[in-house]
Amino acid sequence: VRHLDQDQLIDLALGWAHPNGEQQEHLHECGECRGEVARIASTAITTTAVLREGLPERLAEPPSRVWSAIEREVGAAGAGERPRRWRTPVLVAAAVLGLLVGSAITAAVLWGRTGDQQSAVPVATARLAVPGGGGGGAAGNAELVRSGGRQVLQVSASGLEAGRGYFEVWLLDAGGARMYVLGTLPADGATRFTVPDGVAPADFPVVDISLQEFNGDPAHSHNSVLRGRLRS
Amino acid sequence: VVSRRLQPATSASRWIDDECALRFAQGEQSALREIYEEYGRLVFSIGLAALRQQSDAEELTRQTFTEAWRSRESFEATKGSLRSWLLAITRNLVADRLRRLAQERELRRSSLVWESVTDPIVAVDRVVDRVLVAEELRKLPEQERTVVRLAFFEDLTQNQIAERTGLPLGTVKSHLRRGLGRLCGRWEGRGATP
Repeated sequence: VRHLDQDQLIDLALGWAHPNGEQQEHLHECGECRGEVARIASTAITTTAVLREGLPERLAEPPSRVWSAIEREVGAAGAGERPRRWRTPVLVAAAVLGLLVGSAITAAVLWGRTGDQQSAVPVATARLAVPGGGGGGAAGNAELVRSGGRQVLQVSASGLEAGRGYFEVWLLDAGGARMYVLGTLPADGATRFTVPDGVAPADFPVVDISLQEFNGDPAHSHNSVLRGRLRS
Repeated sequence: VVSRRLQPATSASRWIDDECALRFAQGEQSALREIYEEYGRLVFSIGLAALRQQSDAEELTRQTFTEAWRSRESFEATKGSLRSWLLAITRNLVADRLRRLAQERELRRSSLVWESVTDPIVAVDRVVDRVLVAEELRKLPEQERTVVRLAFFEDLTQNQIAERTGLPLGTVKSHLRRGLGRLCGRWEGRGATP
């Protein structure tokens, strides 16, 4: 295959030339050349926009307090140590802390089983909060662990009022357009779900608890009472 | 085999060298300071452009570098440039922030929460893209920048640029090609040796 050369690619991308029959045919077949033309064209468009706006003379300088804050934070995390040595304890500490922040019931339910405690490897955690803030003290935690070759989501919540409904736990994608229902959250506010291996938490990182009505409709009620994003 | 892709010309001093990246990955804080010196302004400028609030931009910068430090093990110096890795962290944090803002706005309006919240990563990329293009433009040698400006801002053809500047057509072409190459390589950061 004879690809288009750089000058031709530029000419076509910038509209300085129209593709002749041969070039058209090649572009039709060659994704690589099409990609190059698109890349140059989009660069040209952005460049034009930047020049029209007026090119600032230099990048903005962050005030010195920003670095001071970074230094304080990373300094506290253990300066100069080998990452391997502290990373795992920190993860475990974070997981434990997450549970301490949650309700006492949770701690009892989730960590009462010694076997699980030893084999569960924390993967990601989420603090669950009332979407948009407020909401009279309802809060929760979710933790994704690998346990016995399965991914398990442990969910706990407190301060929720079911009223005449019940709670359901979901995993949503970042845009909230697609979701998996994991099951119902019992009245004591803590339970665990097996997440099917085909569901990648990276693609469905948002843990959501909805208040559902007893109306037989399996869809999300659009009434989210707690939500949070899993972070590793 | 010579790659046909437009390659950004390499200026070794411009990118954090591998040695610094290695020290960073091993947990040396002095390396983090060097990286901050090199990219702090870029991250902060992206924050200003995307979030528009000085305080949000400061917070973004702080988060980006502490997050980079925390997850430094996930960076492998051999695989890609530190810069693009850092940019990936930055854009995720910006997107998170925008999502939260959109969500809050949405919730105030109705109880149908998610439907109209579109993924802001596209908008973030547009903003980051502009900051990166501006940065590359500033770094272009004077003559190259002039040629690029005439081509894209004044909308002149290469022949017209040659007439206007008095440069030979061949020089105009090579300036434009090199300039475009640098601009096209803005996300990768470290360009392959031409």
